[in-house]
Amino acid sequence: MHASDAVVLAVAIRSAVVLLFLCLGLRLIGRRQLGQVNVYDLAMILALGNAVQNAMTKGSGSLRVGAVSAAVVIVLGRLFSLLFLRRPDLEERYLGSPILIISKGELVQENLRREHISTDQVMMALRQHGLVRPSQVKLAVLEIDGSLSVVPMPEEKKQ
Amino acid sequence: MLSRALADVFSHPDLLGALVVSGKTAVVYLFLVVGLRVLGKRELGQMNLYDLVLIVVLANSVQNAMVGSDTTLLGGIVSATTLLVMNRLLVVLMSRSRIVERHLVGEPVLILRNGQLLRDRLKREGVTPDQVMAALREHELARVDQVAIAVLEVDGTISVVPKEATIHRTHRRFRQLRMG
Repeated sequence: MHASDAVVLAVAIRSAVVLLFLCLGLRLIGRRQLGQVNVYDLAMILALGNAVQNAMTKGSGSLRVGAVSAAVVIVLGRLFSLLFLRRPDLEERYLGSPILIISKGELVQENLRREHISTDQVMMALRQHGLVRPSQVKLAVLEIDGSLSVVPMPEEKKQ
Repeated sequence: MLSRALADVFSHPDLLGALVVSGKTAVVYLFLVVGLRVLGKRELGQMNLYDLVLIVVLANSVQNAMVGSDTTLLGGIVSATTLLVMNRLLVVLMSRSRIVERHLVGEPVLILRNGQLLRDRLKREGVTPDQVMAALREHELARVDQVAIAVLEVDGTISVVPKEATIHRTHRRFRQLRMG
């Protein structure tokens, strides 16, 4: 089976569109995780990959189509990382910025709601830092990579 | 050549076709969530290589069920959007409802309080006292009486809150693999 040049060009454009769409979609609808990605998220991501397969390759099993589609994805991925390296402001805009979760012993409920983080998840992250109450925390920040940085209250203020 | 390629890129299913793809994708997503819940492996940390293979194969096995013979660009985008929206709904539901969250990802279990091991809970969770001691040593504690609380977390790690002293995070996982 030999794919024609028009098909190969179409596959290249399709692959680029799908990749850009997924990046945008994950940014808009997806979220950063607090702690570990759970099994439902993993299944969703793998299913996502399969859901767009035909949209990228036009259902073609030809080697040429596969190679072109893969090359487009790899080259675009490389371009994005170069772009973010040169323009940190774009990186902040598209990858998100750190978010305040606890300030001076108080949970910032508004940010918890916006990021869809449950109190259970915050309490687990605190325990993993050896703390049990938000009141022991001066500052907790949800980082871009999904981890929670915790700055405890100064020792004398601990309850 | 370019015009033929562009015509292909803008190919799309009709409205009914798009609705069918979206509906089938939603059903597949719900099925995967329920299926994985029944399987009982909730956190990636608990998974071994075979579980991972199972999930990858699972995702492949549902591909045709989601998009079927639709090879248009828009068909794939409709399916992907459906998956993203469903995942988002699940996340929102879990952050709003503690019951749903605890049912889907489990709940943390207190296993040590005020220097006392809670042996009945350890037994129920399949964690041995030796494993708890290993977690304490990772936190540079040698005796249970140095510990205020220890909690078996939903990701399988043990959190240790000492009565006093500095904190280190546990990296080893102690919760056993369990089916069902």
